[in-house]
Amino acid sequence: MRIEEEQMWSYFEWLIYKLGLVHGAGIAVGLSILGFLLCFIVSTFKYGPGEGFFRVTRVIYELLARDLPGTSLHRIFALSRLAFQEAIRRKVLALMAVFIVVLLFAGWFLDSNSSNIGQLYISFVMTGTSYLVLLLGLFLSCFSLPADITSKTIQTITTKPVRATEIVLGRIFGFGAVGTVLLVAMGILSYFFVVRGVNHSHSFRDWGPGKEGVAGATEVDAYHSHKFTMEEGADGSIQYGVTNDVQSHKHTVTAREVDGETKLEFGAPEGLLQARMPIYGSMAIYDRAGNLARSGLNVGYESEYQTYIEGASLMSAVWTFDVDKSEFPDGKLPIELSLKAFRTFKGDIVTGVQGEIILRNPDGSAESRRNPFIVKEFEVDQIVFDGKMPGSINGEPKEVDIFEDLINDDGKLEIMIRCTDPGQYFGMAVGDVYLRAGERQFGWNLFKGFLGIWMQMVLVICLGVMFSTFLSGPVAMIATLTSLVLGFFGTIAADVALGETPGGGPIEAIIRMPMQTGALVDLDLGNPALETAIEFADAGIMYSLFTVFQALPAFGKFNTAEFVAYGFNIFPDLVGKHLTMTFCYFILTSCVGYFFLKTRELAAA
Amino acid sequence: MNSVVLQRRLTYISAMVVLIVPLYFLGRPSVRNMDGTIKNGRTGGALAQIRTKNSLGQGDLGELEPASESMRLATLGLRGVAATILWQKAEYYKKEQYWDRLSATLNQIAALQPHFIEIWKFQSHNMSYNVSTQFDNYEHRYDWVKRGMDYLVRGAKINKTRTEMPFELGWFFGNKMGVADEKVQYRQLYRDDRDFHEEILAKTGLDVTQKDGRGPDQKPDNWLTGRLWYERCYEMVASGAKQAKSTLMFYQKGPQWRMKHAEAIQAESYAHVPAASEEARAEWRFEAASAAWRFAQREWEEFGMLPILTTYGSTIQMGLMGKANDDFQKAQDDFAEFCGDIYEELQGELVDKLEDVEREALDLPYEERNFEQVLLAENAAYKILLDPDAVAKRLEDDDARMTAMTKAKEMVRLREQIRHIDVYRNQINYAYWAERCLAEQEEEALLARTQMFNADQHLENAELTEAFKAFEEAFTNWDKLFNKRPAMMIDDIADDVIASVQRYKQILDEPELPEDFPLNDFLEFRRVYEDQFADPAMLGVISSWPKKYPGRNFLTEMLRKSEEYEKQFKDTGTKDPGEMAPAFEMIDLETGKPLEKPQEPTAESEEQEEPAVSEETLESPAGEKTSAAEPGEVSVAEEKPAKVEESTEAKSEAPLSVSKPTEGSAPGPKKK
Repeated sequence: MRIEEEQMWSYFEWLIYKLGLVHGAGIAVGLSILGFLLCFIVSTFKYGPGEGFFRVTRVIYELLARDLPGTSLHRIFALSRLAFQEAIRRKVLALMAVFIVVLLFAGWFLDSNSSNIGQLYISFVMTGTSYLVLLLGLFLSCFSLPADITSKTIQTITTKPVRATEIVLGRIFGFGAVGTVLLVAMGILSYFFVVRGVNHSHSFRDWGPGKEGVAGATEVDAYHSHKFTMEEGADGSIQYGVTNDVQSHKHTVTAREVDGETKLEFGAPEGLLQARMPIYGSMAIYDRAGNLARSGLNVGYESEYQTYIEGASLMSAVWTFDVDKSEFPDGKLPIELSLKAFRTFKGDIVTGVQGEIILRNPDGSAESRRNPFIVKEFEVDQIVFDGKMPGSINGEPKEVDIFEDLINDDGKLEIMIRCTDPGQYFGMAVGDVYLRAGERQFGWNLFKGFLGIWMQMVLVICLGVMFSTFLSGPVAMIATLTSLVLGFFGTIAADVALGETPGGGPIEAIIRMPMQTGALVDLDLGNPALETAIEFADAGIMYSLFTVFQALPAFGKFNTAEFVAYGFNIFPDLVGKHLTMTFCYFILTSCVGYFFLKTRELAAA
Repeated sequence: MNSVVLQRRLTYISAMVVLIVPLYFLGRPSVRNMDGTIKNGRTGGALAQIRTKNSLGQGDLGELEPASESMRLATLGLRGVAATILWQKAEYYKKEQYWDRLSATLNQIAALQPHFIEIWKFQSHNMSYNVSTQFDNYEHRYDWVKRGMDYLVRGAKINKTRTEMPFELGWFFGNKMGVADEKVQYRQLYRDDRDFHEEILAKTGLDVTQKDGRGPDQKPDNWLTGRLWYERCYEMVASGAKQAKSTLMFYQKGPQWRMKHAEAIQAESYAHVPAASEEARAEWRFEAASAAWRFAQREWEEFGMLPILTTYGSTIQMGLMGKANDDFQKAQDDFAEFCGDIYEELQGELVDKLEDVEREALDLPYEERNFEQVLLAENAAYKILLDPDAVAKRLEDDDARMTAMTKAKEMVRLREQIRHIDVYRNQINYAYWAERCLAEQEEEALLARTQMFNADQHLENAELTEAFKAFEEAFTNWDKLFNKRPAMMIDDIADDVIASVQRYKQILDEPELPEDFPLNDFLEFRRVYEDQFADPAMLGVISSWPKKYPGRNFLTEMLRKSEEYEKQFKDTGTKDPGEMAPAFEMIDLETGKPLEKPQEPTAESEEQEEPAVSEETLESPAGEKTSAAEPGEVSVAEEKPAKVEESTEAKSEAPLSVSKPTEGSAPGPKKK
């Protein structure tokens, strides 16, 4: 799994140090000013500057002085209930039936031979749920208000003592409640589907004493089989054993005496549904001369996610972690690696590429011995260090205590990784090495994953309701859909605007197409002034679009399904960040929705 | 109800009823039995019958996959677009190394377009050859090789009449598992992968543990499994399916995989097979390899008898080059006789234009020519070829001219036939492989290989005296083999021998090899060969040597006395072979005495062509008696090569009498 750096930030780090708060406030202020100016211009055209200014400020005044303080929770609840009932009348529960049918036939489409069936099942249910719920939010939110306006039902409501804030919030809460009920139901079904789907056991095929003790193999069940070894007790009897890792899981084996015969029982799969608690650090790369470098080497892969260090050289990667001893109560330090090996020659085919791990105090006062390891690719390799191990303190060979000697006063620990095979390379990214601080409940993690979907749904509903306050149903739907698509794929525009995607902006693209000029070739029109003008115009368009995209919620970032699928606990800070952002967008869209509804009401009056 | 409305409704209903009748007769579906055959008489409507006739129904194409069918329906006719998007996603996943997602996406693509054969071929190759190599752990690599194969198996089930997938499976099992850098590991993993064997059986009905699929250790062998897939393709074609490749490329694979199997036995240690000693295991292994070569020889000969429709429009059998030459010779003699003096006169004119040495070489019987004369005679034979049409036209009598022209036409046809056979043989090195199969069964080959292995073992154990002795014995046998089967000198075997000679030199601790070193001639030949001495004509002679000159030693009797060869030595600055060898004389291999007259291919010499493996049973290295005829239980007596064809071929295997030597009657170095 790939962890983005910003996902590792703590809540306050994001809010304060990474300027999340400032950024949010900036958007709010910017949009407020922009909104005010636009409304003022429109009103000026309609009523003249004085009257226009008065009308705009009056709406703001009414929001702040009357509608907001006068908003009644009771009325919001009543309107929400109305929206809820309306949604039920529109047979949204049919969506549950669709979901159940999808689950029933999912087995046909899912690759049962997958190397990690848990990942596949979790990704499937979460993606499926996400699509269904987002579509539900889209259709419910976009058509409700316009339908009421068209059928004049809205007039019945507005003649009652109901405020515009209450209408907007009532719609958002009502539809949100419908979506939440469905999402909870889908979440529960998904949980059982996943747990039941991955659960399997094995029967043994043959077993007996071998070169490495009592060992055997299982029959093929669930498209795979395991080998296992049994441990002999002090009395020579066989009691427990464990299978090897196949398709990312293993089983415990228990021997039981039944009618004088030893029978083996295989436990549930372990390792498929987990919620690891990783502690991430920062990574620094040192070059062949041992000096700090900006990055490692590129071995020729298109993907630049991982950077590479050369074997048998001074190149190394050093991670710095903040270690809290209380997170490792058993006194051991488990670390997990997902490194990549790259060979420039085949070498020893049977043995993997080898490396070494050194734990050291950032002050340089102490370090552990070199711990050799063999890289395991495309799987999580866990290495557990005992609290004490041979090493050196101030250059003297001594036993070192990880938590006492290798962690400095700031609570930091450095882990250095080197490749020791000459001519071979290790590939790594910052998230590829982490300390494993225990485990959380899978069910709770799945809940947090669904919370991410819920936030996406709320955002869609907010946008839908907002657009439906001033657009007709179909147009509001297209507008919401566009926001959704741009929210998911807005990075393309950002890449174009920032020059990371070659070929220029829209004007340049229109010129290039008939000229059949490749994106990587400089635009040559024979007129430098014209070319510069096009570049400037494009830059203007792209930065405007970029700014708009920045204001739209980045839906993709709310999706934490990967965390659940790959067995990583979703950081509470990340959930907090997403909830904050959702709340901000909720406020923003509610305000915009209120203003439009209010304006519309005024126009109608 | 309004009468107009009622009238309209009745009209519509009537029209619908009327239309239902032809629709019923056109579109009525057929009813099938469980095995897919049409139930008695229930062939369905006209459309169903056309579908059945042309095997266009989904059921005719292969197994139906509910997932595939529902996905195709769900895309509402946009499956092409969906497949394209998925293809792009697959590329992205590959680039970013999300392997599981890649695998899942490939399954979706295949489900959308299950009858698009290229998808199965391309993406299975992607998994087995490209993705597998991205893993550092060879067991993971093996797993991805299997995934590619599994993909093909799925494709084969959905497209049961297409031979492409089984053919690719044959290739993957053989080539990927048997040629990759990890071949030793892959082969071993496959042998012990009982689950995979059972999975193949369950999914495809192919029992890879059958006797034709087992190696000498009685476990499934990847090359033989590949061959079983090819056999399945051949069965499918026999039942009416289309060939995945041209006849030549399609049918050569089965026997070729037999040869690869034999090579693999020779190359691997088979350490997992219990044996009394390393020597015993080596002996068992090389005997098993020899038996495998015999099977390969039989199948190669069968392949040679396969009628192949060429792109020239003629039908040829590659194994009948001798017969084609004989037929041409007969037609030529007949034509010469018919044309009488005119033919002689024209022929004489061409012969007069030859150089003296060429004439002299041509006049000598085959068996009396030295190597240089062999080359000269072949070149001369080409130069004196007459255009039969021109000869016929010179006849004065109208009737005679017409008859001669008919005969000339036949001659041209036969000459073309020989050329076509030659072209096709050269494409796949037919002659070389035929020769190799025979050579590997020679007693000398068996002894040479066993002793070379033993020598290496002794060397590893620092037993120098024993190593020295084993090397010498091995080299003596190599020398005998190279003389008997000179084509082996231009093969990988020769490289192995040269490497052994280097090791031997290290034991000797001398800068030069002794003058009586058995492989001196061979080493000289290799030096010259590597200096591009070997032109195709010479290679042709080398490959056909044993058949054209049975009993005559290539190196010690012929090549060394060639003036041209001596000249080459001088040009390349190597030692004059004349100094190393006595004056030319032909030696009887059996007695070692000089021959008075050239040997004719006798019954005895034919006997020598028989496989080296005796009818006696082989002992396994652990001392158990097993059938010599690995892996099956067919007796050796049944497996003798077709002697009649061998003897027919003995005189006239190569098409030298009619085709220009440089046009490639030569098999050339080994093609992989």
